[in-house]
Amino acid sequence: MGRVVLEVKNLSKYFGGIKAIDGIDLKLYEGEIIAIVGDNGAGKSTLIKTVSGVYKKTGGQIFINDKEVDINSTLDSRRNGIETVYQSEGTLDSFDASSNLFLGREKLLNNFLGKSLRIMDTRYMRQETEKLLDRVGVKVKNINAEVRDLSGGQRQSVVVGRAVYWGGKILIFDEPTNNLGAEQQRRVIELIKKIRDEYGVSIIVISHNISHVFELVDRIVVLRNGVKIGERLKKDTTPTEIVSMITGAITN
Amino acid sequence: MKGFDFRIFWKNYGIVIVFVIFYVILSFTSKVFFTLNNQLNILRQASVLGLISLGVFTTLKAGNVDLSVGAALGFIGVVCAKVSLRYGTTRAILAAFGVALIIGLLNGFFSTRGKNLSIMVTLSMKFILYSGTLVITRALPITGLPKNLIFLGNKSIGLLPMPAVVLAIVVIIFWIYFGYTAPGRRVSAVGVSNETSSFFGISVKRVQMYTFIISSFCAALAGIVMLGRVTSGQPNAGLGAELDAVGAVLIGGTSLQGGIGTVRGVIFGVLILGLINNGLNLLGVDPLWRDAAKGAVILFAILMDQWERKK
Repeated sequence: MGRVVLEVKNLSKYFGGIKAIDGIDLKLYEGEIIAIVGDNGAGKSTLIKTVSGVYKKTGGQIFINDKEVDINSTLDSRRNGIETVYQSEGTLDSFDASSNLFLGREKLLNNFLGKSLRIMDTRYMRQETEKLLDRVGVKVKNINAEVRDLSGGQRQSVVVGRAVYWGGKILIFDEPTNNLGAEQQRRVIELIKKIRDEYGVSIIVISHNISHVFELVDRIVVLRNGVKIGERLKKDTTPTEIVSMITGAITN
Repeated sequence: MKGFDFRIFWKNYGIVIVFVIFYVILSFTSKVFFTLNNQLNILRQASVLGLISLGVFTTLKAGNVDLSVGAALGFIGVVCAKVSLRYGTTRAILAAFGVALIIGLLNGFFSTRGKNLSIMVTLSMKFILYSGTLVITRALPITGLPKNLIFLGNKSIGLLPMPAVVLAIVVIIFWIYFGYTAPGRRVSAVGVSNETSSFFGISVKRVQMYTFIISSFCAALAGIVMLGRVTSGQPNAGLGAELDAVGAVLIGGTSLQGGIGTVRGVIFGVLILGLINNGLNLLGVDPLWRDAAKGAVILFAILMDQWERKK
């Protein structure tokens, strides 16, 4: 195992009297893909939303590269290299891929025109986009096409590519294969693996699709009722065991 | 997506085709239409509308609408006229843009207090400004304006009327702004989705604020050009012009939902409205019917727009 990039100690989030997550401990190693699984209401979403700054934690500590960090907003988490990939607010559909990749961080011409009139270096941005898409293994016929005209998988590549392009070291995927056709699901799984291999990032995936989880990850963390039930290396476990842990047939 | 797709063709060129059809029909049906004088007249008339349409377009791009442009044109015009009589042209123009800045800031400030407020806010502003115009002028024209103030409205460069030259310059600026600059791109981004834009660190309110200021500046320029065209400050200048502007922008394919639309579309929308005004006049159609014709064209544009968007 490599070094620990993210460590969560005794993390809790309460909503009033409800303990959405309670005393969670979690480690994520460099270049590792882990899954957080559990039934509805087990606390998966609350856990990642607390780590990514959507919610403020009630108690506990979060360490990035062994340094404790204070995460109070999504901006804080992004500053610390955590990028969360949601399906919904991913892209502007009437913009092309490169406008989406550089949204809010447009590259300006490195001369008088760029500095005074803020003219963009569209050629540079397009080249970077092509390189990035190429690296994550996506072929787009027309790089200038609006994102709405791309397939679901290609669009996902733009979203994921953007996260690593801007220096994300820890990527969190919330149900990445939800609402996709079988073929697109396969592509997304391959894309996530490819991103890990190409960029050496560490990845947390939230999913309730056990077969996808087994295809994708190295380690599985099981939550139930806001508490961590246990974790298993993929090579040491079976889908049956994980399902039993999720439903409560096995406790440890 | 194989072969010829009429929908995509129409999306790109529909507005040009409509313009050409109108143009050809008028050329054949009216003797006066094709005369140089009349052509220049259309350009002159389209210029003021073009300027405020670009302003309305900018606010629409960011997901709002500025309905105060007509009244702002009038108000800024008479303020400029009044100041020029006393303090000269330079200060009059500074005053015009100063007032525009204040109007834009107020529109922007109140419109960004919540979602979808701009219609109500700018409508209120329209009433306030129109009232202000009447108070300043006592409902009488302001005459005797300095020569160097009115040259933007009534002089020509060669054959080209000054108002058309002003519009052309502004069009080029807008074309660069929306096509090639980061701030221009962010205006569209905000219009497409507030949420996604702010997720990526764009300050949505600030961007929207800028669009209202740009819109007011366009109205100020239109107001100054208007002074020259009628060589006086008229209390009714720009009255109702905001609706023509919204119409032109809609004909040009800009979406009321924000984010979508092109500068080219706006200009053709303005020219088509100009042709309708001019053509119906030449053809001797009762002027009382003119607005009905405009309404029909706008409706047609909206229907075609919906059809284009359907997948």
